[in-house]
Amino acid sequence: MRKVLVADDDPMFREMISLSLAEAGYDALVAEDGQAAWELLAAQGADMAVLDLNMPRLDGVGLIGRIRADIRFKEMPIMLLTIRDLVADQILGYERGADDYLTKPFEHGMFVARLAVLERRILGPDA
Amino acid sequence: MLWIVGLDACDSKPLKRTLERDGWTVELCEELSVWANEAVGKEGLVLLDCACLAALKPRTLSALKARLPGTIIVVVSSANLLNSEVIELLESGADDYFSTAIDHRLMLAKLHAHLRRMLPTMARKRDVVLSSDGGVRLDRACRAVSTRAPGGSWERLNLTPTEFHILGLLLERAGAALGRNLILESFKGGLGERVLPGTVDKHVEALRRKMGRYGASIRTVYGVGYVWRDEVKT
Repeated sequence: MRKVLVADDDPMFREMISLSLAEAGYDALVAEDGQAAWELLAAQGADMAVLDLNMPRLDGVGLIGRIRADIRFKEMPIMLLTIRDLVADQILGYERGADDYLTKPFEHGMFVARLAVLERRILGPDA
Repeated sequence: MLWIVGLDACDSKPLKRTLERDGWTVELCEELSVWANEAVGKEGLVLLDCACLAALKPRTLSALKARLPGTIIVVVSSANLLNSEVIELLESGADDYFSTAIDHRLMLAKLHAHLRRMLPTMARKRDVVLSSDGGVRLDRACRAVSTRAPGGSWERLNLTPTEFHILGLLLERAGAALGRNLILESFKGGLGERVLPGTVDKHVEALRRKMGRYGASIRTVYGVGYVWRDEVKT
């Protein structure tokens, strides 16, 4: 079962994302901000990440930078899931290393389909 | 290589212009079946008109994906698709979807993200890369570059990791222009050296100097970037 790191400072979205992931057969590791997410990732590892942009202590872009700079995690598929829908925000997210960018509110089916594409393209079949 | 398949000229031409300015080599193809035959064994990215798929049997997309594993398939549409239709495309094998009305800057950012994933895969497949005239040999396993001297012996070059990486990209895509943006994208993921947009040119100049007579094979494509064309008679 693939482990997905979830970082979002909104408890409602943390719960929604976790439920979506569980329904789709993923195991969610959940953190309430970017710094907590980094510490969780370092301690437990993960296969993929779904990150909010606006978070205290360490935001989504900062967290992507740490992930991509760490040889253990630099190839990890990363999806940004955020309320920020401006073109400039999306471009920034991709340029900083995100593999996909989805805006809130999100539809479960689309979220899972796009996560599955990342898994298929980057990770290959589940071991 | 990037193909645009099936789109009307009013949609494909602006996309092609934007992509070529960004350094992509773009080919237009009207027919899906013609493109699919040409693309076998090649690696690249295709912008595929959704309307091409609608007229075909179900599972065409998954069959295409199985036949062309080295190709990233991005389905594009000039009509607004329902979420359920987009989901079906993604589940059938599409690697991405966007509308032809997409902001071109965003399109480039998305395609660069795909390219970042493709480049390591392409590089890993070829441990030893030779220039077509046989004068330059790049060995990824040993991280060594050698050039053939006029007398026939091999001389090893002392390249930095950045110069080694850039030369590898140029040799892999010999004959096709490599945009500066694409060179920069290929560095994301870390080589230990920080490459800034303004320093790509300096790294290429340093590479040219170190390659001696083979440096002339790195040609500047003004407004785009660089291309490898064998210039040295051996």
